[in-house]
Amino acid sequence: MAWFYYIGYLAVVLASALLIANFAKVKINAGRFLKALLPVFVVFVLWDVVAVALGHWQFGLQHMLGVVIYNQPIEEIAFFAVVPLFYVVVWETVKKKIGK
Amino acid sequence: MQYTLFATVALVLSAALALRAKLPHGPLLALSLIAALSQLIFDNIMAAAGLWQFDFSQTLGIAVPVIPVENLLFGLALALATITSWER
Repeated sequence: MAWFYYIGYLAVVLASALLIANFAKVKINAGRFLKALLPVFVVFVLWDVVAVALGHWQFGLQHMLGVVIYNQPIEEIAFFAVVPLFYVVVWETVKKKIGK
Repeated sequence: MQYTLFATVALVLSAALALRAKLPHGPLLALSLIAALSQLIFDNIMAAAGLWQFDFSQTLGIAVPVIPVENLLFGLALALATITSWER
């Protein structure tokens, strides 16, 4: 159990996304991704803030860097950018492989 | 079961948006399966390690095997919302 667990998890997800994109020869336009991400990021971070306030879940801060903004560890905020990137890469890959 | 309610509403909304956007069904199914599978593996490992701790009294009480089933709905809602926004 250590401070790098959550950042390590994000690194594994990010590395998986980059590996899949590389092997499937999928290119993700950064501007398009950021534009698509913004509304999703806002809604899900707000959901997370409310869920933590209501006690739906809490964080094991001993596994994190310890930087918390309001009630959100920075890793949890980064989660809502890294995981959507993974999903977009998977989406573009499956579209390419099994057609539209 | 407040988390159950939140997660169900989010999944229904994002699935409705994805279908309304006429996203192709084959890739949608494949993405959903991959999203569910990767969550089953990674989120369970991390929840078992204690990264996230869930209040099961806010859920149906069904754990698969560590994370509540609501968390899978959460992840699917995130996947569908993301690609719907991406394809807009």
